[in-house]
Amino acid sequence: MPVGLGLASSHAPVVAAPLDQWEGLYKRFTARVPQPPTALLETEEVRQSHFDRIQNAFGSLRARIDAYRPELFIIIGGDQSEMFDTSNVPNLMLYVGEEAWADVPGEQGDGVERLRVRVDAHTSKWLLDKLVKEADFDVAISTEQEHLGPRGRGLPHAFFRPIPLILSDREMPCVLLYENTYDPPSLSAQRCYELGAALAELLKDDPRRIAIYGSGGLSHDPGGPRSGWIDRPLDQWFLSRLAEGDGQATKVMYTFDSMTMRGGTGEMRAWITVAGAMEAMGSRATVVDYVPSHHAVTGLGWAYWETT
Amino acid sequence: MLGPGLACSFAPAMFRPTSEWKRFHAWLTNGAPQPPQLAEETPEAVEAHAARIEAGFGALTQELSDYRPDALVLLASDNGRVFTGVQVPQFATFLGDELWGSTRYQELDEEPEDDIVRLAGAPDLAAFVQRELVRRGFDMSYSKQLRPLGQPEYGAAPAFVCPARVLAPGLRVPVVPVFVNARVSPMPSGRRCYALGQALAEILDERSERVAILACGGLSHDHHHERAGWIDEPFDRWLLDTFSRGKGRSLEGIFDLESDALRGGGAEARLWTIVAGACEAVGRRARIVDYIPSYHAATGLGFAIWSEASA
Repeated sequence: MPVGLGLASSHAPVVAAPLDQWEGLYKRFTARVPQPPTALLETEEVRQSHFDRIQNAFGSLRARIDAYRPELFIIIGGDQSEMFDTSNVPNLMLYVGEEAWADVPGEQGDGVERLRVRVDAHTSKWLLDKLVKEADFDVAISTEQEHLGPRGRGLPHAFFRPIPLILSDREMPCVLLYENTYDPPSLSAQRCYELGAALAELLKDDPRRIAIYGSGGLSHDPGGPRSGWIDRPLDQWFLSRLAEGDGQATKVMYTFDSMTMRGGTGEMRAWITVAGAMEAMGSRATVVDYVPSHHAVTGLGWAYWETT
Repeated sequence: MLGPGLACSFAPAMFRPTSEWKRFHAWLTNGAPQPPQLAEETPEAVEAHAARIEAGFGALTQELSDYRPDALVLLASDNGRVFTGVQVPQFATFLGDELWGSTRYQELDEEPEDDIVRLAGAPDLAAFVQRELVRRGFDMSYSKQLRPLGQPEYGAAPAFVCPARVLAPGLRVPVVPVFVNARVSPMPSGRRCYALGQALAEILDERSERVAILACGGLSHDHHHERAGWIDEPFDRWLLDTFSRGKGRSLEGIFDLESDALRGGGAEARLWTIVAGACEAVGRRARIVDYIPSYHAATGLGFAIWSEASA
């Protein structure tokens, strides 16, 4: 089986926070930014419904994964001064050690729990070799995990936050692929799409059931000049293209500069890579839900790609 | 605009008096069985090599000073001083204000502070080069501050700082250092390196600054490994002949196979390939200044210039 299941989701802090912390998170990220009028419509009731939809959406992704029973799980995520400091910022990096970890704060902000991720070092190394030597991707090599970034506590949140929400099987062998989604200049969308297609091609004769997951997005710029605002037309256009199997159209992302293309919106690159992989497998996205939540400071989206 | 392309080998002996060569040879070869040529190299021959090295650098220096560059793109491979297992980039542009490094060797218990070279960066030009390379599909890493994880007190590799000082006396030419992985497998293909050079030519063409390119590395050697001390002369001569004929594309596929010839100094032919890609894009061929298979330096030493005039 080649890559047979694709998934993508947002990973904003609220997705792993109890509802009573939302207001605090929202204030923290938007303190100095005038908020759009629609933010006022997010009453406690609305926030409760958003909370429920988030749980359901992750439940839906989890169910797809449980049904497919992947034997290899590829995670694509970025960094925000966690793993990397400015001495060495990659656009692409593969971690080829045996295990990765993150020290994750407890649910109530108390204590720290170590999240461990089992890495399929053999496959990671194989992919690294193929991508660099044959597919012309300039992937940096990491054999030892050490976070150098000022906010570091192991793996970045793009990895540690969604993993517990989607992976029931915590022994799942993973491939951890860093894609620069935040630090300019970053990869073109075309490059991200081609990377996905290259992964699908490289793995097409692999006998295992393989899933690929992209972490981040949709439009958001937490702490930025439009923090709390959400570019709904962009998010909806983006999700529609993926649902139509036209991820190629998303290559136009990031070809121009604008407030909306900066910040966390860059994380949609991870989705584009998944689309590149899954469209190479003849699949198109099923959008699970879209929640443009001001309190999440993010257009929250979930999608999966299945193959027949 | 793209000025002259320059390439020179890197061996520690090139930057030290001949009285120190024995010590370096012992370190680089570490007891490996030596080729017969080593014993045949008389002290007079070694002195003659040193004089030719000086003349080789002299020719490159002359080319640079005639051109009066505003900036120098510096291509070299890290030797483990800066990048460790934590992360080795394939290509990384240095965007900082200053690149520093010691010409001394920790492995030989030399004190780093005895000779630190500081090269002024060219952050604006570097940021432009970085942005444009990424836009063209090169997945470049970047570095805004030097943080040598391998040898914190020694800074950037000697291949970055030693030749820059010899070739740009007074160090008044700011540099855009580009780290190229020619050390940790997997490394970029020849196609990738040639294409990177072509892209650099295009990118620099947009700029008003006068920019020269210098690669420092190779030619054949196998320092610290099984074939240390041996020099693959046929390989080196093929490389130089290929560059002099403007056929750098012939290197596009060579790294696809695995061979001892392509490890060590052979892997560093990638650096020369990048310069060839840039200069051949504007119709130039290399003029080979000299080739010295120096067994006491344990390295095939080459010097080449892709002059503007050859266009």
